[in-house]
Amino acid sequence: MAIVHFSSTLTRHTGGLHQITMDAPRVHELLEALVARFPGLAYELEHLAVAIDGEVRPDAAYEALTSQSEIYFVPKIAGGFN
Amino acid sequence: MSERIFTAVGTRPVRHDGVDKVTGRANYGADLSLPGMLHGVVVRSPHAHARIRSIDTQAAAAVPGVKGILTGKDFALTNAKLGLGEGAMDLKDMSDNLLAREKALYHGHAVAAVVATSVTAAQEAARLVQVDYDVLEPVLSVDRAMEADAPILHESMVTQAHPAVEPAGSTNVAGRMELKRGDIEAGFKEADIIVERVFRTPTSHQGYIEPHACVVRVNEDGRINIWTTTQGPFLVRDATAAILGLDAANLKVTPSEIGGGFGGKIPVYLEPLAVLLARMTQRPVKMVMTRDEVFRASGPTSATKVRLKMGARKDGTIVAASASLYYEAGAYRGSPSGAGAMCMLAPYSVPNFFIEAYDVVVNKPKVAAYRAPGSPMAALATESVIDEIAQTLGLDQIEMRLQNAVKEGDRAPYGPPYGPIGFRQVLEAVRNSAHWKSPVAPGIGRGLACGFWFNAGMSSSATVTLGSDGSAAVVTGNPDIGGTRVAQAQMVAEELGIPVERVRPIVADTDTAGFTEITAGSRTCYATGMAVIDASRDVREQLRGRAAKIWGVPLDETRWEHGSVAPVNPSAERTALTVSELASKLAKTGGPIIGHAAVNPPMAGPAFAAHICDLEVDRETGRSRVVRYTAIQDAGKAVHPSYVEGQMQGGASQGIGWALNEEYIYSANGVMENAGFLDYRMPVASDLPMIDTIIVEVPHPAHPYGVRGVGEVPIVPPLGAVANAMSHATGLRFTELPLSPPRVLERITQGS
Repeated sequence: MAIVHFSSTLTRHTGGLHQITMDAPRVHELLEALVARFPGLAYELEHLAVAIDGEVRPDAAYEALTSQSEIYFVPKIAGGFN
Repeated sequence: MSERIFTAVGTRPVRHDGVDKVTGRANYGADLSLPGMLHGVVVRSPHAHARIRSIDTQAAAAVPGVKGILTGKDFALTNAKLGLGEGAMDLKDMSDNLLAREKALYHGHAVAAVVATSVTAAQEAARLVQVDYDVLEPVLSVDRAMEADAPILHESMVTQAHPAVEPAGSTNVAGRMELKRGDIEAGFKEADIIVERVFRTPTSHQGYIEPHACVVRVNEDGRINIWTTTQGPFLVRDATAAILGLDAANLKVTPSEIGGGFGGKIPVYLEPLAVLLARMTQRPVKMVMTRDEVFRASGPTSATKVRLKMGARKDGTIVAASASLYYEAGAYRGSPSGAGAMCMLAPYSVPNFFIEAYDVVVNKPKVAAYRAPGSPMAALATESVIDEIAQTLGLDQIEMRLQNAVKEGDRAPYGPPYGPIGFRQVLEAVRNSAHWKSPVAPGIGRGLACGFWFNAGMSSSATVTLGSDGSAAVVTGNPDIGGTRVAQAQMVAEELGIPVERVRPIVADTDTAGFTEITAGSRTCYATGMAVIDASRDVREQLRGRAAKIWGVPLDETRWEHGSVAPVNPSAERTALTVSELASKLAKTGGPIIGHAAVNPPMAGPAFAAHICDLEVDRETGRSRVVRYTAIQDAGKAVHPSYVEGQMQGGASQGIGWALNEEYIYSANGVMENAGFLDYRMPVASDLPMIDTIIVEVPHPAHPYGVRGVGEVPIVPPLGAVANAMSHATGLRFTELPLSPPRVLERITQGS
């Protein structure tokens, strides 16, 4: 069960939950499951990058998750460009 | 990470491209000429905001030598977006920026392009292009842009807001985002001191010495060659193809040497126009911007307004912060306000904060990235307010920062916890530095400021070929701006155990190199370096196979030892074979050896920096002089320390110029009045002392050598370091840049 953290700007869509655990083999299955549970997250997640265990990964869809994985959603930034 | 003994990494060999550059042989963007080549010139708007009623090209077309004229009607706006890192470039906006369609959105906005047999003929014709404008009021600041009665640049603009909000009619606010944590009101109630200030920074330019330039040839079979000065040849290929509706497979982009970019040579400004003009005339076309055009029409960075309120306890513990960031995007959406918001408090552990960031369009050139885009302006606010709190409370500047400094495991303000980071080590290095320990001379102000940058990862490829003489070549697709070629050669030398002088690093065109993202985001030495290391290790594995073949043993009975393959069970017949010995037998053992690798690593691990500035101020004229300056930075691992130091010195110099002198000076109708290096005053060597450097090395665990990005974070602290030095020198708190002599003198004269 990956541990998923929600920032204060996302908790309005999660019923106030700051953290949940969720079973998903990879990031894109996790995102689908999150949107199914919290439909309001769909718009926000589209515009957020994923950090797995502290590492921000720009193309995370097929990254594998473990029961120890800690997930944060990070505003998309672009290194050296806008 | 275990301590590794390096042989090539960490040394300072002469760069492979050095002789060509110091002798003037190196070929930059404008150096190429082709037989039969024509010259393209852009017609630019004389108005900052105007509707284009019509364009008459008849008189221009009649100028002898003119071969073609292009206007916005000649190619449709695309709706395509180009993926780039975590974001996407809006090619519709970029396309409209190439040639205005409905409206000219800034003074200098391209409205037409002329191609002729000479530059003078093209320039004469450009003057004769008649554009009928309906001149509109220009919007020149975020304050004006956000007023209820402000002219609207884009009628269709909708604020991209996170969290989402209901659209509220026409707006110049392109985007808004917020970050928050804890209970901001409760946090401020805990504070013994609260400081709130509003900071402003001007529009300023990256100031690369080489103007934008390209040459395009369209072959009879439709194949298109683009030679250009760029930070991203693959991006030029893909953006040009998408904007013009071409198959990218027909485009080949060859990057020239590049005379600086700093983020400003990521967008395309000329290449698609040159392709269209070359196709129109069936002749090669060259386009070169003048310095005036570089200032007026290529990416400056955002002017900003930043409000910061910070609360701390008497002991210096920061308990709360709230901030509003307003960044000018220029004519199209896309300022780095979000990055500014994320960086603003990144060096410090602040339990309660609220940050909102606005992306606001104005009638100025579309901003481009500029070294750690967004972070320096935000850091100016943070570091100035911390300086003021420490000063008011009588606390030591370093101790207060150390007390609040983030460490491994602390959560970054943008979400995840930090891995191993070096901010505290940087601050310790400041405290132990000769500069910080030295007494502050009378009449001098000493300022300290810190900074943060994320550092990017992204896709990179590398090929390493082994010659039969035991030398090697390494081919990548990143234009070398800051010494990355020699750093890549050092990595090959490190992995293969051969001299760095026997490695030839090559920056290749888009048909030759594997796909590689731009030279930006402090990513080249890190991400492309990882590909180079992996490709070298691929060569090593193949060399083991060749040794196994020579010895007639299985692969697992060989092992790599620095610079050679050794048998696991040595004997009189089986002794270690060097790379050169194995290379000399390539044909007999299976043919050439080529190592390949491609990577897409996570971001490069955050970098932290701290700068110390000693500033002398002439109270009669307001003129100031930096008399001593030291830059300290965590590089993870410095592959070539001279070029890490060069990045630190370059970033510091640019930041000092931004702080003290550089600004776009606009007339009331939106015309930049200082579009040249005489009036846009960047520091030159004689303006600055030697920038001393201290490299801190806290390895980044995701990289085989521990490398972090180094190119961007050194421009983050200087704005705050100089402003704090000015405040200590004069006894006055300065919140608006640049700290030019008239502004400083006015404050000194007023005495407040």
